[in-house]
Amino acid sequence: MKVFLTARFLIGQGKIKNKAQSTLELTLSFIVVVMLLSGSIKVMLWGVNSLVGRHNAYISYLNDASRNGRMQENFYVPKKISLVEEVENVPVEDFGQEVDEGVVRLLLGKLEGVTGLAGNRDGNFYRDLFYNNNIKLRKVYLDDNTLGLYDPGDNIIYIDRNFFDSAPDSSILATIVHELTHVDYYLNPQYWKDYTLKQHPELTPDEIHIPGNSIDQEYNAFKNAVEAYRQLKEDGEEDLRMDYFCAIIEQGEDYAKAEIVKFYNELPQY
Amino acid sequence: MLRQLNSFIFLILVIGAIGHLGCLRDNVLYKNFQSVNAPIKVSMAYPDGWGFNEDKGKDYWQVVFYEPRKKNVVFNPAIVVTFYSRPDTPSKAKEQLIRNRMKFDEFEVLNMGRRKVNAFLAEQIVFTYKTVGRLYIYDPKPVLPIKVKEKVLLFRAGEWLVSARYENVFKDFSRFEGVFSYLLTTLKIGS
Repeated sequence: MKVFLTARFLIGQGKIKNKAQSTLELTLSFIVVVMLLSGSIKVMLWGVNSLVGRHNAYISYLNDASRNGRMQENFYVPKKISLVEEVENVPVEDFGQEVDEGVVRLLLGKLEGVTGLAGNRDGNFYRDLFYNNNIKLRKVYLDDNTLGLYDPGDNIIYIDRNFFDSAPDSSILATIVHELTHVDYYLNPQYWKDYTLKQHPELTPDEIHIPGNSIDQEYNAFKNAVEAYRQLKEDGEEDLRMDYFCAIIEQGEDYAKAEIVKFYNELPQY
Repeated sequence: MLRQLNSFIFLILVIGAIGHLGCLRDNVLYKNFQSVNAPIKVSMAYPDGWGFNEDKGKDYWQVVFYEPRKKNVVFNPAIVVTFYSRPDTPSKAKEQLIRNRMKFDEFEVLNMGRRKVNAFLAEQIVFTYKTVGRLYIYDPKPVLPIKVKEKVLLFRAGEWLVSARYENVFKDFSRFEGVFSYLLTTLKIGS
């Protein structure tokens, strides 16, 4: 009753004049009060949701921190490379196994016919980039099951071991070309700065972060990987993951970059 | 005592009114986005806690609002607003969009129609398709494509062809559908 009277006061009504008017006023007051109370419940629900979300994020942070801390106590861990055996009992020899030179030669030999890569590059250029700069290829287990990674400090391209041992050559080479595009940006920064400015005259040099990684660099690396995969894929070979990469790139630069942003959201644009 | 009770009730009602004012629609708190490096002034609300990224391309400018990546979540929902400097009509752009999305497996149009986005008449299309959620990941299990649902609105705003789209996993699509609709009501395009 007190609530009704307060609500009635809020809608600016005076004292009760007759029975019909008071019933109408009380009904209106009741509706207003119910609406406002539902708003209060909404605020409380939002508060509870926020608290639960923050709590879960904190627990997840603690779990990650304790796992990383445990790993770093005992081992030197190169950036982004996990010692998966700690959780899965899988032996890892010296942060991965170097891929046999003969296998590398056979694989990279297939790059010869690949053309039309971003930055006016082709397969021959990337094969030579690999040999001329003494780059090594290693099979390893990577954080979050990342397919590949180039570490400029070690000058090594790391490829996920399970992927390397099970995927068709065209998919492995697509991943190597993706990583070699990053190597190219790292070793030839001025070339890529000029290329990017030519492609995007609307940019100023200050907006370009080469040789650091960027959304645009990832986009070119994916584009090159997809192009290499398309040209190297043989009849009967199937890799659903690469087929979807192709479809994503074929949607256009805007769509592909929006997907890349969701995955690499910490990177600058160019 | 009565006075304290009345104050308490008044406070609850004020909170209730705030809850209804729009800043907590769909149990989401909103912030305001203002374009920084766009060739056109754009502002709109976006969910607090989400990230955003401005992307200036050769013939487009876009802003991507995304829910931060969570562990074990295979596909991140996103709302993307793109301004293309193309002369295409919305219906021509819709045809091109369908041709592109058909490259994904199991592409299917769920509905098409027209809808007002503030002062603009937009072509609306909703479809589903299958794609991979996490880019550049080796999954030891066989790759399982994810069924995605996408709603796209295409309209012209002066010299710009505008596309506003929301994408999420099919079964979770309704989660941010209200957010997407609300964001569009807050979209302001200047010169």
